[in-house]
Amino acid sequence: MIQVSGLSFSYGSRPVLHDVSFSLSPGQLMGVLGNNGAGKSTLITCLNRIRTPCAGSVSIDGQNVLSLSRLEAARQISYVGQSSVPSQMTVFDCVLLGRRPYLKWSVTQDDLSLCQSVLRQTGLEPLQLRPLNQLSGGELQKAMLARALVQQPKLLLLDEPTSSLDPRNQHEVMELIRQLVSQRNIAGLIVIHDLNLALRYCSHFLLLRDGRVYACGGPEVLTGDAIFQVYGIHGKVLTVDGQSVALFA
Amino acid sequence: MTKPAVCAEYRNYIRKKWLALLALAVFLLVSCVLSACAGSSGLSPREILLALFGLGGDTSRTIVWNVRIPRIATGAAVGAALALAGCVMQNVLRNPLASASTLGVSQGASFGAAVAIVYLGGGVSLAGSSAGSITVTNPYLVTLCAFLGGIATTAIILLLSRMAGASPSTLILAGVAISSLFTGATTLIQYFCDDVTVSTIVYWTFGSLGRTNGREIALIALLCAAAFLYFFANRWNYNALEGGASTATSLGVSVPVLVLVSLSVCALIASVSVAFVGCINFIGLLAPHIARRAVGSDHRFLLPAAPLVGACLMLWADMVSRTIAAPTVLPIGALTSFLGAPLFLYLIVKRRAAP
Repeated sequence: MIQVSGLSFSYGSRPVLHDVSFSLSPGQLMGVLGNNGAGKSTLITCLNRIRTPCAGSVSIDGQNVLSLSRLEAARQISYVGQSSVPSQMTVFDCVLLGRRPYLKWSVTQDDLSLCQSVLRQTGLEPLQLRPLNQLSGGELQKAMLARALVQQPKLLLLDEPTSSLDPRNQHEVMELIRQLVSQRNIAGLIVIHDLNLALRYCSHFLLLRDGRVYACGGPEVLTGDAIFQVYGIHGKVLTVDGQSVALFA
Repeated sequence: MTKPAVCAEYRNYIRKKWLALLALAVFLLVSCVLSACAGSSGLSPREILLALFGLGGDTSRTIVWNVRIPRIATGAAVGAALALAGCVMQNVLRNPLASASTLGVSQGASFGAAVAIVYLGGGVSLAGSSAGSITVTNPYLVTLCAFLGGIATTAIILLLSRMAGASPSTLILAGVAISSLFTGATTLIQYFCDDVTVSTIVYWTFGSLGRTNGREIALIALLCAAAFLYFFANRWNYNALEGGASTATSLGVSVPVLVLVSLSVCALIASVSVAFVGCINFIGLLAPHIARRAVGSDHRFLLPAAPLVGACLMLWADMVSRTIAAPTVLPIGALTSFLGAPLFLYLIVKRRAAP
């Protein structure tokens, strides 16, 4: 169980997050929604200690993550950033890097086997020796996802992982995320701008407005009023062929 | 969960990296032997080999053990140190143009060493000796002052790299400015010196592998070995940094500490090299790029490969400097600049052309 309580963060004297609290269970994928500047990415980076919150706590199974060393925190939480830096590193080596929080002096057979297993699961096995800078956008995001998975996290943080992808790759990556979160029974927190993608793949939603939690819960929290309050535009959520879709005026 | 066997393809890939490293090590060995044979004394390879094992005539033994071996050891150690520093600087500053010479660290160290030699009694100029050579009488003082000069430059670079919007080009331009500052300061020192001291400083800044003694070579080699161990222990951290600071932090790397300590160690080994052999430009820039071509950007292999390439480059540059206009020995610093400047321009053009 992931429990975030009273989390606050400021950039200098400018407060960005105010008293953010929510909880998330293993196997759930929560979409973090809100306008630009609402504090979505800041929230994600506070959770994995890229930024240090001013106040509040983040606990995983009762253990306060903010009191752990960086290495210990990296064994609990993994992160896929907004933009991946494609280097000459091969896909396999990139995924193997996810074992860094566990590595002593050298790589073990177990590390290699785990990487191979995740590569197979993410469909990247045929590309494992290809340099990252020769991958398509979708393949690159899958490689980053695979690297995050071999960290064997309890919480997977994703910051707009589909923002630079075409619709087909967006759906492929989101479907993969949903499957992995469910199969591996880990909690997933994803910052996402596309409401329809979020409605289709996320089980829970955290709506942020001006750094505060506006609403948190299942799909029922995404109402026309909530959309107006969070995004400032009129919209509504309809059900079409059993699938929730958001329409905007 | 059943553990699948790791495919032979990846194992072959890793084996090829090890073979590439082995090839580089063999090439370095060959370069050492060729360097021992190269020179104006006209010794045959047989005489060189005999002298290496303590056999043959006194002259050949003296030339091999007192002139050539120290020169080879200095070249290999300095080349390795500069390449190692360049390799790590390029990673932690995420700038392929970074090296001790392009960022002004060498020039800062050079200024520090000049201050120690001229004002603090760290060196004595030997007037009347060939080419106005200089002997470093207090290597520790010279090294300390060179390090202070190098670390001051590193601090400025570090501050600039932290500033919002400091692009790779900004850092290089800052390096040009810092180099100019320290070159100007060294010129001022020369202006107030007597003729002999000026000539010795000028000769010293040309760069030479032929003026180090065993104690100095041991100091460079030991520091280089210690730095390598520190860098190699952090090889996974450098790989993590390839993906950006946020990714590295999320993988458990304490990025500010890593950057600070790494750059300080780079400044130390680059400064010590400069203190004893003068400014050797571009080896630190060239060697990591050549090593990347050979073994890729994985620091498990790149960190051992870069110093091997750096050592080879230095030995070949030294061989050319000793033989191209024999018996005159050309300044190796000028030669490495001739070698490195075109590559530097190529990298700038390549970066401009990149999408």
